[in-house]
Amino acid sequence: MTMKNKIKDLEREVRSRFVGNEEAIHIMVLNQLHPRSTTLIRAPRGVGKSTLMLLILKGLCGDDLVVVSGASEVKRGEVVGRLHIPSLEKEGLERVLWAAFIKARGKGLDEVNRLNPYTTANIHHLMQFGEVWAYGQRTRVQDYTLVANENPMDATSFVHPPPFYDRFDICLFLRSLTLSEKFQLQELLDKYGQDLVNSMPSVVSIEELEEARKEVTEVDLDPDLIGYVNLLVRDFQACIREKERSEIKPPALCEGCHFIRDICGSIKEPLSERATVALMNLAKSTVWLYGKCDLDDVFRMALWVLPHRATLVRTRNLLADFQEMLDRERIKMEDRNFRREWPLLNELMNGFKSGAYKLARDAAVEDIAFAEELIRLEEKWIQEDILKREETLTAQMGWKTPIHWRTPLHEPS
Amino acid sequence: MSSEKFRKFLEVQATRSPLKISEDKISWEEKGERTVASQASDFLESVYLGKELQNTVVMERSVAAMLQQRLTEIERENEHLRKSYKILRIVLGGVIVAVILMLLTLLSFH
Repeated sequence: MTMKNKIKDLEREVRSRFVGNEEAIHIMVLNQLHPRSTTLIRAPRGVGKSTLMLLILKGLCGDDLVVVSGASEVKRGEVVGRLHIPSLEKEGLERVLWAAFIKARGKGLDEVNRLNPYTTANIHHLMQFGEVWAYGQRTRVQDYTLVANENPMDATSFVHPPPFYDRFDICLFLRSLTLSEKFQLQELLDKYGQDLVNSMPSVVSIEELEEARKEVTEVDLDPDLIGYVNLLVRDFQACIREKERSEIKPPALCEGCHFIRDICGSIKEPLSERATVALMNLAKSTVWLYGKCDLDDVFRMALWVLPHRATLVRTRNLLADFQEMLDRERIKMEDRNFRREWPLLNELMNGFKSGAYKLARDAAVEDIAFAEELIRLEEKWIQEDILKREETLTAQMGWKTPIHWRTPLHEPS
Repeated sequence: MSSEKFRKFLEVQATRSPLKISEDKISWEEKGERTVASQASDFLESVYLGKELQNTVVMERSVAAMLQQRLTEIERENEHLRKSYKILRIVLGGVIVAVILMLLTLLSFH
């Protein structure tokens, strides 16, 4: 069996033991195909968060997995490492015994929202740098698969910082089962002797997974797709009034703004660049596994990559709100193509052309991401004496050129 | 500084939808490539012919501008009518008072 078939087999094995949530499982499998993969599962109690976490970890790592439960009293020694007392007593040496969780390829965090902040900080460091520290000693952590789950509605939660959640590549939201699915679950439980997790075989070996991850990393994405992924993330970040640095946040910041009807006005805290990395990884996995990945695939994946990374001005139903924004974004992408924004920018990057500039200005007043690129070109043309500052779109629309766009006074020789 | 991949993206887009550039004019050919999601819904047909609307309504700028203009006109008309209504109420009040006074005067003569 080829490696690709084994990965498809992994999805089949998980789906044969987990009822419903098919798209979530599909995305979860795709997300395993890059090094140091991290997945967060969010759902109310009793929907199958822990089961899904264990199924995927068993399928990928067999018995080489350790699950730390936030519900129990977890100490740092159990998660990171503890001091080897005999070495200290006999030789005066501080030797650290690294915890099984650090050494295991499969790492599970059950009810991560109940994990104490100190342990969470250690795991955060592990996810960020691929290393852990204890007693002044550091160890690199080999490639792993980390799956965490939480019930955000749980009353006994710690509020972990947004950067911690940002380290999770994807966040899956599970739903409860429909009537017919409940019957399916009962049949499955009977079939597997009430133990779905123990019946799960190890489908992919560690070596095979490493090989697959290596191949996925080497996949070259289509320039078109890279462009659309970057554009999608930028649209969820961009703000002509620089909300990232502003003390005043939307909706107050958006009062009187020209772009008030764009999706930027619905986002309080924008996405980090990790959203781009996560989307690129998923796109590469899709190309590797299925031979192609198009814009519609990217929009489907985005629903599992964006919601845990941004804060909305008003949230009624997080997934539905993001889906609505993604639908608007999809139309905007088509509108950009219809207006020939990118061919126009391509023309202008090759040199100033008044006809193209006029059309580009028309497009820019309705598209921040495009306006940002045009403003940069205008700055260049001002320096080249092609354009006067008062003639620019920025001046005429009363926009301010972001301070961080300034070029340094001195260039390194 | 411009990324190679960004330039490549722009070039691919430009190849897919080539522009015709002549002196100060730029034009291109429509390939009818807009997806269903971005096509304008037959909004006016639903308004004038009572046809059922789709779940999501997408309208062309000209239709939106027309609706905007009509809303502004209706608002203006509404304001005008409200003023007339106010004046008519005052006039009616005056007439009622005058009629009552006349009746009282007539009764006092009898």
